[in-house]
Formats: sequence, structure tokens, C-alpha cells
Amino acid sequence: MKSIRSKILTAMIWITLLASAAVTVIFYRQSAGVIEENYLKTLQQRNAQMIDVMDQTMKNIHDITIYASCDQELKNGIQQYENRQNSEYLDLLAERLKEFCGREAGISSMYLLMKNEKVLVTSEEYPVYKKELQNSDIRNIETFFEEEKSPGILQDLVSDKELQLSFVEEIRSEKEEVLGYILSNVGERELYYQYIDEIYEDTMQEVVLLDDEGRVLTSSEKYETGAVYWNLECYQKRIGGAENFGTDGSNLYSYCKAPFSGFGLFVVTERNAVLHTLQETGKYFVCVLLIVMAAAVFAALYLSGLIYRPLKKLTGAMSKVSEGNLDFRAEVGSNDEIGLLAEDFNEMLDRIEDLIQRLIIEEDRKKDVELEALQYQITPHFMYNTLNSIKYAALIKGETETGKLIGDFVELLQAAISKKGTFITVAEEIHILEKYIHLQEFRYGGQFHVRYEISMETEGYQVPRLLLQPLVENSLLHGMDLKEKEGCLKIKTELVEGRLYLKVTDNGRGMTEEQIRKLLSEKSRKTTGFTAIGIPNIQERLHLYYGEDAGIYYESSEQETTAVIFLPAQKGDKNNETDQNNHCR
Amino acid sequence: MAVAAGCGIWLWWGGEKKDVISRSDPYRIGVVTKSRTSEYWMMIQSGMETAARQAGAELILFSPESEADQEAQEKLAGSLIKKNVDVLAVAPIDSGTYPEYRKTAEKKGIPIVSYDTPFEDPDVPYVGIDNQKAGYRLAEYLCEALEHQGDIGVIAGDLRQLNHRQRVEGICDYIEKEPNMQVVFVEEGYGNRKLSETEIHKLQDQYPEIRGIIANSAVAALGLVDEVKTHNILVVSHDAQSDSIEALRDGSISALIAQYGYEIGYETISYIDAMYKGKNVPKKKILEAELLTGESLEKYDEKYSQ
Repeated sequence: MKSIRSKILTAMIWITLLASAAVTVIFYRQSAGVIEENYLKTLQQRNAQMIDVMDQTMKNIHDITIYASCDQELKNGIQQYENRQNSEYLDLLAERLKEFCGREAGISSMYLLMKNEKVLVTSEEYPVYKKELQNSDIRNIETFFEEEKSPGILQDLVSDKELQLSFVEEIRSEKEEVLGYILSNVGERELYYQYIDEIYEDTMQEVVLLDDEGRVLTSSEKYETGAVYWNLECYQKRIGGAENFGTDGSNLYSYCKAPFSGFGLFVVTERNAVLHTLQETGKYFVCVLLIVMAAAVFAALYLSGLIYRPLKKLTGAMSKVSEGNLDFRAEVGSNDEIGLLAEDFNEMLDRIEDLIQRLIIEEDRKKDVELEALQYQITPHFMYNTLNSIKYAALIKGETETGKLIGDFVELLQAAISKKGTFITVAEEIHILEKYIHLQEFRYGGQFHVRYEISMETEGYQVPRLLLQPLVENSLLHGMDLKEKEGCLKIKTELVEGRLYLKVTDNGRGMTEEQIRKLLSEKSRKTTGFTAIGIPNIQERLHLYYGEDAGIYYESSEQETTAVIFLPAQKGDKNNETDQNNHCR
Repeated sequence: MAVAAGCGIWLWWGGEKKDVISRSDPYRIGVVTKSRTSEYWMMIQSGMETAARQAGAELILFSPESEADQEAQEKLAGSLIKKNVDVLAVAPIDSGTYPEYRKTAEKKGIPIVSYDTPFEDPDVPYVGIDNQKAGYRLAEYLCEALEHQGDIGVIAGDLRQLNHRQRVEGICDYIEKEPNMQVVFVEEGYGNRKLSETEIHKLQDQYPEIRGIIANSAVAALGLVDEVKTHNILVVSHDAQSDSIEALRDGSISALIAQYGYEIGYETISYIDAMYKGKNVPKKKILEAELLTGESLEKYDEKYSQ
């Protein structure tokens, strides 16, 4: 079974872990998104700017090629060379070409191809011209122009091997005859340093300048000029339109196409290279996360300890108590709910202990009472039988009085030691009392007389047995002074507001307050016979049966003294109820 | 736990951006001007670029080196047709010819629109001012200023260009109504070129009685104002551009036909855009050209600042 502490600990760690992980992941993703977006935008802007610059240069080269093709000086030079075959004209033509070539830094070289003479004049320092060109070369240029491939990739007519970007325009005479062609060339290296090198960064995988048919003009990789870009198919969705940029998850792409030349600059960048800095930061974040986690674990341990310690003490105390150690008390160490719980627990233990103590005392007392009752039953049958024999012997011998007395005594004895039950009706109690009083009248020789004021309505109510006898005995023994005056005893019962009042009044010496207090506070003693049952015994019995609802008190003056017992008026068989109650207890 | 794991997976993979922003090719308008050196043509280019930006079109603009370079202009136009532009706008150096590029354009179905200068072929749409009316109004103003007396001369542009020819026609149309006035010379070929000092002196010697000159381009007008100032000759001209306006302000030019380069450029592209998008457009879009004098300059300033 998991303890509360481990649950709290697990919960705290999970919450911290989830929160930190969520924050880290969200932050990382947001940052990565922003970085990617910014990188792509910047890249696209740079790409677009580069393409603008390139296209402007291409337009300039195109313009210059056309201007040169319309140039009268060049036309005249060609015609003069054709007529006179003087190489000086070729030098002049070369000079004019240099002038055109110098107008735009983007032009690597310009050639003038004289179709009829098969001569090529260049703007270069060497060779200034090249004679006896191959027919195939001339045809190549013608086809290139006619098929409208300009600007496009052409083999260099001078070096033969190199491929370069060329703008071709034909030169016509005034008679509309084709005199030759003007070629403005841009070398692969020139394109590379002008456009690729400017934009290329270490993070980029490749930067390729493509013509409108997807052939490589120049690139950051060693791709062959003029060859169809090997990745064209792979990137077909990313190369197209005027602008195209985005990411496929692992790479970032940017493509821009020039409106005039139709050339496109395509840049591929590895996503991870762009996010390199962020990934470094990511590692740092993971470290921070781990530290935070460790701190969270320690904090969780400490906090759960703080919460758990008093709880552990309380559960410890509870288990000790449950083992039977009722004297053990929980330690109250805090003002929180757990402290309150410990306090309440301790209080509950106090009350339980108190209740147990009271139960023990009550049990003891009940036992005493029961023992006393048992003592009254010493050989009762033997005594009854003997006394009955004496009674009948007296009656046979004509001793009626003696016989009657003995009869009373037997009845009294039976009432005292009866097993019938603890409770009897008021009428029965008065009946037993009459027997007792009759015996006492015989003893005292008629020195007192008794008056009964028994309320009819009280007769059916139940009272504990032999409740009034000790009071009458007290009055006879200690109350009345029979030598001085005739004693007068009054027995009275009444019902007032649901309470039964039993009163014994004598006209004796009276009692002082001190005497009453002493009498009522006297502890009960073990009794050995009838007469020893005193006031304390009545008090205890009343208390036992009715608690605080019943009691005894004295009212005394010089003329008379009244002992009053009050108790709740109850009908029905009280004996069974009492037995049940006892069982319950 | 499962929810947390799900969130994690979503965050890591689900939110993966796979956006690609792609902009397809805009339609392309090829433009060939007559020149690139004067302010008027720069204003035309500026107006065209603004309108093209607004229309979402790509502008490819070529200019020959000078207004005389007809071959280069035709080759430039030809190369634009080869590039398969969607529409071609031309201010022809020679309005009367039917060059190769027009044939190719017709074959390819590329519409051609003329601006600033119309083709003689009335089937080619035109965006610009009514040049004949402009010439007429300039002549009218000059005659009034000269109190309907005396000889005047015309410094015209290249008369192969219909706009210059129409301006001269407009002038002559008016002068015919003035019994006491006549056009004593029409010097051709100064569309975007100044007269040399020698040429001016030669004219002065030849026509000492001259009282007014109508220049058909601002460049030509500005080239002679300093020379004729001392001879009390009034000069009126075409084209509202900053230097000609300044000349008008200081009185060296008496009146100007305010042909705004920017407006012509802007309206040309707007016209092409409407045509390209299939809206109904008239064959000719004639722009208003007001006559600016020293007194009405305020109005011009207001418009110019807007």
C-alpha cells in the first residue's frame, strides 16, 4: 500500500515534470517556428533582391547586345572588312566591342561573329580575333538565335570547352542581309561570384542558379554547367512560380524566378543548421529542466515530510491506542487540521477513559447492592417455616396476639428478602410498612401512633423496595422522644407534576442543618440486618436507578421533621426494565 | 497520463509546420519606350511601375539609347515578343511601319498597345493626349500673345512619329485662321534633342523677323530659350516636367501643354490591365492636356503636389 507521502511525492513530481516539459516543448516549438519563419523571410528577401539585381544586369546585357547589333560603326566595320580583308578593321571592331563590353561589368566578353568571313572578333586582349571558324560553330550560333534560346548556354567559341551564358543578336545590313552575330558572354565563374557567393552561407546545403529550362547555370556544388539540375524532379514542387518558399520538416527552401531572364535562384538549407543555436539552447533548457526536477524532488520530499510527520505521529498514537494502551496520547505539534485532529483524538480518549471509570464504579456498586440483597436471603425458608410453626403454635395455644405478631414479622421478612424483584407498587410498600410499624408498636407498647395519608393515585406507581422503612426506623430510633411525649408519625404519599413524593414526618426533637448535611453525606455501610439499612443506602439506590431525577431531603423544625423522597412517577413492571437495563450495561 | 502523452506527441509532431508559400507567375507587360534619358520618359516609367504594382503585373521595360534608334527599338520589342510577354506597350519611333515584331505578336496573339505616340494603323489602341489639339491650342495661345501678328517657327520632333506630325498639323490648322501670321520654318528631328548653337544662329540669321517659336518637346524648347531670350522671341512648348515648369515660372517659356509623363505611364498600364482582364475598353484613351501659363501654374503646383 502506498503511503500518503509517496502519493503526494509522485503527484508533485508529475505536476512539475509535466509543467516543465510542456513549457519547454511549447517554448522550443514557438522559438523554432519564429526562427524558421524569420530565416525563410530573410532568405526569400535576399533571394528576391539578388534575383532583381541579376535580372537588371541581364536586361542591361540584353540591351547592350541589341545596341551593339544596331551599331552603325560595327556594321560599317564588318562591311569594310568584307570588302578589303584588312585585319586593321578587325582591330577597330575589337575596340568597338570593348567599348560595348565596358558598359556593363556583368559582361565577361563580347564576340562579333562575321558569318560570311568565318571570323570571330572578341573584346578580349587575346585572341583579338579568330579566323577560319568551323561551319558547325557558325551553324550552332545561327540555330541558337533562330530557336530563340538567347540568353542561354553556349559553348565558348574561343576556348571550345567551356560553357557559358550568352546573349546572341543578329546584325543586319541596311539591305536586311545578315552580316553576323553579336554575342555577349557571362562566364560561369562570373555568375558564381556575382550571385551564388553573395548569398551562400555555411548553413546552406546548396544554392543553384537555373535557367528557365531547369539547367544549371552555376551552383555552390560542383554541378556541370548546362546539365539539367539533378534534383529537379525531387524538388519539382519547390521550383516553380515566381516565388516559392517553405519547409518540408527537414529542409528549408527558397526559390525566386527572374521575370525577364526566367532564371531562378534555388536555395536549400538544412533545418537543423538553422536551428543549431536553438538546439544548443534546447540542451541548456534540458539541463535547467533536470535541475528544476531535482529541486522539485527535494522540495517535494521536504514538504511531504512536513505534512506527513504529524500524520504519522497521529496514526502511531491511534495504533497504540487500538492495541489497548488507553493512556497513550497523540502529540499535538501544529495548529493545522492534523493538530486539531490530534487534539480531538486525545479529548475523545479522555472521555472514553472517564466513561470506563464510571462504568467500573457503577458496576462495583451494583455488585455490592446485589451482594447485600443476597445476604438477606440467608436460609429464608428455614426461618419462614420455623416462624410459621411458632405462629401456628401460638394460635393453637390461644396466643392470638403473639401469633399475629409473628405473622407480621414473617411477612416483613419475606418482603425484605423477596426474590420477586427490586420494584414494588406504592400500595405494596405501604403494606410492608404497616407490618413493620405494627411490630414496632408492639415493641414500644403503643407510645406512638401513626397516620397514613396515602393518595389513591399514587398507589399504582412503582418504587424501589423497602424505601420508607429506614426512614420510619430513623424516626423511631433517633427522631421521637417517646419518654417525654406521645410520638406521632405521619406517612404521606403524593403525586406532583409527574413526580412521586414519599414523606415520613415525626414530631421528634428535630434536626439541625449540620445533622441533616452529615446524615445525607454519610457513606453507606455494609449492612448486616434490617435496621442497619440507613439513609445513604436509600440515596445510593435512588441515584443508581434514577440518576439525578430522584433524591432525598429533610425539612426540620422544632415541632416536626419530615424526610422526603422524590422520584419519577413510573408505572408498569419496573423489574423487567431494570433487568433489561442491567443486561444492556 | 495518456492525455499528457498525447499532448506531448501533438506538440512534437502535430504542430509541425509544413507551410509552403508559393506565388505563381504574374502576367507580364512588356514596355518599349523611345528613350530613357529625359525626365519625361523617367516619369512615364515611374507611372507604369506604380500601376503595374497595383495591378499585380510584372513590368519588363526596355529603352533604345535614343529616340532615333528605330532598329534597336524594334529589336527590343521583338525580344519581348520572343519572351512571350502577355501584352506589349510601345511608343513607336516610326508610326508608319509594320515591323517584324508586330507580325510575330499577331501570330502569337500578343496584343500591342501604343502610348505617347500612336501608330498610323488605327487598329492599334492608343493611350495619350490628343496631339493635334495640343498643337492647335499652343498655336492659338502664341498668336494671341503676339497679338495676331508676325512669323513663327516650329521645332518639331521626328516626323516619322505620328504624335509630332499631329502637333505640327494642329499648329498649321490654327495658323491658317490667322491672316497676318505664318509658319516660316518647321525644323524636324528634335524630339529629345537640343538644337546646337550653330543651328540656332543659322535660324536666327535666316529668319530675323521671327517672333515666336513652338517647340514640340521640352528638351528642344529648353535648349533654345537662353539663345532667343535677348531677341524678344516667345517660346511655347510641350511636356510638363520640372525643368520646363521652372522655365515657365521664370518666364523663359510662355506656355506649356501639360502632358504628364507619370499620368500617361500610369494610365497606359491601367488600360492594359483592364484590357487583359477582359473589360471593355475603347480603342483610344485620350488624356486631358491642359495649357499651362505663368498664371495657371498654381493649379499645376496643386496637382503636382497631389
